[in-house]
Amino acid sequence: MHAKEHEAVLQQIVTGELDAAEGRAAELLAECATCRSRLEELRALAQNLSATFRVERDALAEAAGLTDAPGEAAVAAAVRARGKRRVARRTFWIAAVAAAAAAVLAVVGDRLLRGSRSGVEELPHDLILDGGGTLTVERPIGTVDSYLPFRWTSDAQPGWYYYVEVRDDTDERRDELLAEAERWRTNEWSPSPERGTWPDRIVWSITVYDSTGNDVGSLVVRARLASD
Amino acid sequence: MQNSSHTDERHLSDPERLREDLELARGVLGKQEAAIERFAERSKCIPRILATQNARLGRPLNEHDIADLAQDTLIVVWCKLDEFEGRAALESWVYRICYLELMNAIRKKKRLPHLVEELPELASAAHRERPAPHECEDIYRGFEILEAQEVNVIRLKHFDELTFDEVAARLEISANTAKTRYYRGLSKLHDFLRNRNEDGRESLAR
Repeated sequence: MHAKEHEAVLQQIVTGELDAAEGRAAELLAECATCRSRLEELRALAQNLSATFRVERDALAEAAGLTDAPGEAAVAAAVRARGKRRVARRTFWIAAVAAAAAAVLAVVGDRLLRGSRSGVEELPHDLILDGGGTLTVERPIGTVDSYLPFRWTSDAQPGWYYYVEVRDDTDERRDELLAEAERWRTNEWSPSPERGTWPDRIVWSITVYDSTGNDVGSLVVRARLASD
Repeated sequence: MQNSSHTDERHLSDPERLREDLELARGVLGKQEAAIERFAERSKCIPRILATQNARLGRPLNEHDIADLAQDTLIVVWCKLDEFEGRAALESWVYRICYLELMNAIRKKKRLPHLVEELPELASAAHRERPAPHECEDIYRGFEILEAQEVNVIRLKHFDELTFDEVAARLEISANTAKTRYYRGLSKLHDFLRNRNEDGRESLAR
């Protein structure tokens, strides 16, 4: 009958301390059918582990020598894009200024091409995306009664998505993240602030990603509540 | 052309390399730009591993599937990055995730009847020189129920092919502790696989 103390002997056999064909180990295996079968299964498993890791080693060596695997550039681009927007939390103002400048340039260029549109909001709220098409923020922009919903239009193609984030723009809590949406696919968003209520002033950004994860354009917009 | 992940010729379990990989993962989680750039290059191993494994399995997925799966796998890797403890090289750690994601993707596709015949290696476990894909998959899934210290010893024993004395020295524990952890891990894995096989037989019988 298989007893608990048999396990200690089995451990010694499996780890090579005892020879299964000699002495106490041999006696136990002769007496206990459960031990015999368990030892056989554990040895088979150990062999299987070695074989599995051999496959892994071979596969890693083969993969290391491979170039231009499908989606390779897109994966690296996705890491950079993902990292960039996290880095942006610390350097948000640099990014905001750069994005705003780019947006102004884009709007100027766009207007030169399309002619001036009367009554268009003065804030830079549209952008020509890399590869063509536009991103236009509809609301909230400037002074508003309510921030919600966040809405925009774009010439996004199937598979494209947005990253949207909202930050506090008040002196007390400037740059504190209030809400964010990853891989957002519609043109409207009604978030709740992660903590408390919406502050009097916010700055929010929207970034458009193509289906391979490349950043094809972003806008940064400020808004404040009318009561401010 | 030599690729970036191939430039480091040190062994995958070289302790110095493991420390660097752990620092890299922490740098990415800490949003360090240099770390993110290095990780962007290293993450190319994801599609490379997927493509290599897919080829070994007789290409059940096409190139477009692999590119899509690489993106999905990257998200899994990123979400689990805080679990990376530097016990194996980053590529080895990613390999296991890739393998399980690939098997899941193949299984999903296999549900389409016309693809069943296209997966001869999956249908047969007759390749005894190499374990069948589902056997590797079961072992990797089994690792998830083991304690990290048990997986570490098993890995050092079978991946790095170290003796118990060498395992003990590497982990700065006694050889007896290494043996105990090894046997405990092996036993748990054995029970997990037996239960898994019994469940599989039962579901086939139903």
